Amino acid sequence: MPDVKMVNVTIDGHVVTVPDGTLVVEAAKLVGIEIPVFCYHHKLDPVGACRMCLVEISPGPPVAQAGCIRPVADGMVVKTQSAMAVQARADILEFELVNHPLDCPVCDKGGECPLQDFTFRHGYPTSRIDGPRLHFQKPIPLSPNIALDRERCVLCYRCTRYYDEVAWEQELTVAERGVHSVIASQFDQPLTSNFSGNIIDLCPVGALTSRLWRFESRPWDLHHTPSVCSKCAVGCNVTLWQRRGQLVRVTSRENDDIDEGWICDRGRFDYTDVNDPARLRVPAVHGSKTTWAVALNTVADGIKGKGSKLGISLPQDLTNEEAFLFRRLLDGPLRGAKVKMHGRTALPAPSGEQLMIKDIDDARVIIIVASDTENDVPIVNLRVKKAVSKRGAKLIVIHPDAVDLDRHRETVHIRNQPGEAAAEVRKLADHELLHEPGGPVAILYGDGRGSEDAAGLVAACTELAAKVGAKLMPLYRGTNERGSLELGVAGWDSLDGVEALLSWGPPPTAGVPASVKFHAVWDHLPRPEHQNASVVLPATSFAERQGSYTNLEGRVQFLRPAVDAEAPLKESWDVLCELAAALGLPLDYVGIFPIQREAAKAFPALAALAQPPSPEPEPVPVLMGPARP
Amino acid sequence: MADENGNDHDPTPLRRPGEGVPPKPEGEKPSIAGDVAALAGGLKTTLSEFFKPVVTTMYPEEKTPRSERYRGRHYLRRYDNGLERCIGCELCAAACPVGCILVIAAENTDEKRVSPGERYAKTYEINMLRCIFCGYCEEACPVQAIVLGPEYELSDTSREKFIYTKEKLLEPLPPDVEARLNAKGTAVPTPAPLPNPPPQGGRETTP
Amino acid sequence: MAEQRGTVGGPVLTEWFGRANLHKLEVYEKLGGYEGLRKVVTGMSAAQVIDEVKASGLRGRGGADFPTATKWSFVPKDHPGPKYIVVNADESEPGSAKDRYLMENSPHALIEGAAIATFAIGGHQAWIYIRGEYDLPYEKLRDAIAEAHAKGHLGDHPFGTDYPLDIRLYRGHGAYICGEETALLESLEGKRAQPRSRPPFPAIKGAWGQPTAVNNVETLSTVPWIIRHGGAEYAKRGTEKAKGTRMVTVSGDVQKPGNYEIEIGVTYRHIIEELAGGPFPGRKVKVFWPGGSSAKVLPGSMLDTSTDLDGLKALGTMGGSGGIIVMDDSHCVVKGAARLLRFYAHESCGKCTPCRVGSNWAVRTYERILANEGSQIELALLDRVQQGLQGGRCLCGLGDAAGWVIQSTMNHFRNEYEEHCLHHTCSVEGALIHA
Repeated sequence: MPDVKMVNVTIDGHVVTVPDGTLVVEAAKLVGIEIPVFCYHHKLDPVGACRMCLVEISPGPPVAQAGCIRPVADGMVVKTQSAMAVQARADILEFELVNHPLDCPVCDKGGECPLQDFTFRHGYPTSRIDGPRLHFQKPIPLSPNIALDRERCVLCYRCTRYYDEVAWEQELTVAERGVHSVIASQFDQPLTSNFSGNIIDLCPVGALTSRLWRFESRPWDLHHTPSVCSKCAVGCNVTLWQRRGQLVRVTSRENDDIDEGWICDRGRFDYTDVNDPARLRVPAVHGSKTTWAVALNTVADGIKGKGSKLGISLPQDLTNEEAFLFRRLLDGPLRGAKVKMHGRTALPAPSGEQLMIKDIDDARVIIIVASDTENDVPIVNLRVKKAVSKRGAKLIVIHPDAVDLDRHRETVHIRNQPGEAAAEVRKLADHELLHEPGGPVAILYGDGRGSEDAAGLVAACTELAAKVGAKLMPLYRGTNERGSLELGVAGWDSLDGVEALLSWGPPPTAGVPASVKFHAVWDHLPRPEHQNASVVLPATSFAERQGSYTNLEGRVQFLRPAVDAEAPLKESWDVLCELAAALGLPLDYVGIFPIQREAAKAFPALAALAQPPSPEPEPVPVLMGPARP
Repeated sequence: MADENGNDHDPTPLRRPGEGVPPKPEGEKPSIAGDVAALAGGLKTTLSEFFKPVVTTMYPEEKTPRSERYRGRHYLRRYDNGLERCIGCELCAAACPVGCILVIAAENTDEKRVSPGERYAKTYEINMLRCIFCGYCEEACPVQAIVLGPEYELSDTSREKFIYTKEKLLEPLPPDVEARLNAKGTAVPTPAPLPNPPPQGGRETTP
Repeated sequence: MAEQRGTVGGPVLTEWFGRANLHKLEVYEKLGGYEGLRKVVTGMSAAQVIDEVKASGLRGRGGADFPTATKWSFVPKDHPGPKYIVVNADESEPGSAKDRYLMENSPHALIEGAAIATFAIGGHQAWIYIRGEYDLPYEKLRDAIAEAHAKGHLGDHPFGTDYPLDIRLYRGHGAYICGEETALLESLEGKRAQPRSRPPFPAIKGAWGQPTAVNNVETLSTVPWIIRHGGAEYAKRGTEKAKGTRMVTVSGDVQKPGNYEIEIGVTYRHIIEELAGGPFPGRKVKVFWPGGSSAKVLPGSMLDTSTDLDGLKALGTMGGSGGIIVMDDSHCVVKGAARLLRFYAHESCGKCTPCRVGSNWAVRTYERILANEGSQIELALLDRVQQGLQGGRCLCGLGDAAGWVIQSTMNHFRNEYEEHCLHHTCSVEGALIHA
């Protein structure tokens, strides 16, 4: 860590010591002084467009200056409450409201809108605007998920800057100029990026809103639960918002170690199945509804003692606790069963020291092998982009097809024949970028969605890592693939020829084998494959589940239920315990905590389970970002 | 005996028996004539009431007049063109001190236009058993959609019937009340319906 | 009456103007052109060039009035990557046409000056960002650069030395904002022309993130003369603090509008009444813009103001880009200000809130006033808007300039505003106002 010079700044009489180069707005946050901002965002480069953050700074010219583009200097005195600064900010707010439609009652942002809050805290108490306002057609669907309201827009350029700097996409731009400037998608085509949803969180007004959540409820109606995204192995932190038993929206929850406040569109918009009225809620045997006891006994009878004739299909998002109970079943009554986990890669469990996601920031050379990171591990993809475009890392991609990381002009893309990535990795040791990397080297490898020989690739990557002193990161795809691998339940067996099938979650990708005579389904949605199932058990969705996931870097994170699993729905650990009892294995846990404690004892990788963090809900998240420089 | 501060109190009452009590007045001596006179005096009062005008209102056949600002049951109003005023903003529910209002909003479409703007109330329910008729909802409403009318006879035969649904609330206000509301200038001009959703890539319409 | 100073020392920029085919290399060279560049690349160091220009006291003629040598010296000497000179030839200021005049008549002076400047900052590449609408200057410059390349004055070995110098032309995209130096750099990079926040200044992080000095056409066209004759000779002209000569463009209600080279320090009366022939017979100068539309207006009573830059600054206005707009007493100031505001609102890039919204709000207010719908409210509104626009609240000067138009016209001609707003009449242009 290089020595950072610390400087003393006085803000409204409070002296604060911050690293040199800290922006005035960030220094003010440290002493709890609000300098309102629209265009400034702590994850985007400062731009100084909205002029909302005007403060008086001395030494300096006697005019109000933008605090969001001004780094602090030793001995600087900042006054946010001087008459000049207060008037300057009030003037800016008045300007912002000249053309604002003031349709707060119908705006989805109303209630958590910085423009509303700042107007109350920093604006003039009365309005002098009586003329006609500018009108635009609205709402404009930017994509199936995002609606744009140009009248509400304050042109902070956060969305276009995010698209440009963070997502490396060119889909969003500004058209026209002056007061007629509008945010527009390129050539009015719908947005297709996998990262488009973040602009909803970024928008400081109601200009960009979710169409899934459009007019669903007001923010003050919602109960929020901090949780973890269940769509891939990155483990982004999310906040789940619930109203009247419905999951109404998912927003990001900034964790600088993992997601830096971004989540992908799958994590943000792919939640409507939770509220599906067709959700399975009652167990059924041969199509007729019954009790859990009857259904579980039928399942137990059907799968007991089948040995290798029993096939089990596991979902990719089973929790560590469920995996642990399943492991007990596999060690006991279900010994010998063939297990196939959904959506997992062919990569083996990791060994040795691992690269953490946040270490990608500091890497000088990043090598990505056989992974379409944009779709497989989207937020890791954004980390790589940040390291390359903001921190000057060099990037080498080994992939047969074009990937979105090619958009950087300096990306070295080595196109391998499918299946020969390992050979290309071996050749890399002599690559010019790796002669003098000038810092850490990161190697991220996937399995090419099955096209590569995983074992050979891992060996080649490990060899290369040893040569150039790099750290490795396996890019798992399945949400809890890593945790399941560590618990030994992430099977990769073929289910062909099994007689009994327990299909947990979505049906096996290869379809239900024809040899199956007894088919038990445990799923949260009805599907065509359930037609001939002997038993259908209702499962919880990710919003009703509690437990933990191990993400691809080995971090154990807890997910919490945002929506109650209302009877007759049962939590999966409960179902597994009862199933075990029906199979003759008494798993007598009274709740999830004993399971976690026992799993923590049995598996060192799950030691974090011994002390789950307090389930107290966090304060209402500030969508503008945390008060932290 | 100790109080909450731990001080012991003397159980002795502060006033001794008889202390401070005014002496009994010296009464007149009882007599039969006096008793009869007293009885007649009482009956005179009673009889005189027979000939005074009756002030009792014969409810329910007759009802007392109520002030214009009387806060009875709620109504949801419509514009002249039949569109609902309510935009589903839930400010009434937010203002409600007892939480008896439930609003679930939805988006207007061209096929199904319920209110003039983008948003309308798909569900609007008031739990009249819980309502305290404070009128805050009426004050909070930005479009004068919800008003408290003059009716107060809200008895019914089951608790469920006291959840007033949107259909019930949309019953027309008594004409005199509606006329009074319009005369007071609370009527906002009927906004022209917006095309919704607009064509892709809409541009500015008017400067 | 203040001291009158003509171009006593002889013209600098227009020294050879009037010679036939001055835009041809042979003519320019026969007169002594490219001597400066030869002297610089063959016999001087970069520091000597900067010292020479420093001695001349030359200041930027684009409007900001910043000492040119100081600007060059801000460019880091030991920067490993490329360094650029960018010539701001995007002359879009209403009332200013001097750069076009210079480029059309003497393109080689600009090329020579740009090459000298490139040498002075230790770079090898200069860009001329020329206004897209300037067709003739573009062609003249294009041909002149080709000539200079062919003659070997530019290229890998200018004058036989091993110091490559290259100049490229870039046509602008037709927006006023492109004349702002950071927006110009954005536009040069192919992005949307919007000003950048400063710091970092272009001298540290300019075009494509490299150190860049952005200079005006007139500034660089002066440099060859300074190198030829020495900085001291140039410094003899002008006033104590504002040295040298400058071009002004006089337009509006004068008999002989046009471009004039003046020695700094002469009065506006000299320029307007003597050089430009004064107002039309029977008319008086009512108001004039001393330095392009962005400068605060001065009333006709202040014609004796000196063109001395510091003197103008003391009056709250500026010499700016040298565009002098004259309005006589047959024109209504409110209408004039409204017209300028429309320009500023139209040309606002849309980045900073005050300029984007405020200028448009002012235009709408002016429209109401001119439609005889004004009142005390509109007067107060204009006052509010101009306050909100000023005070460095925007990234570039465009917002301030829009505010100054309102403020200075209201300051000097409040009676006309009050007539319009309160009495719905205009004593200047008749009782009926047609907006």
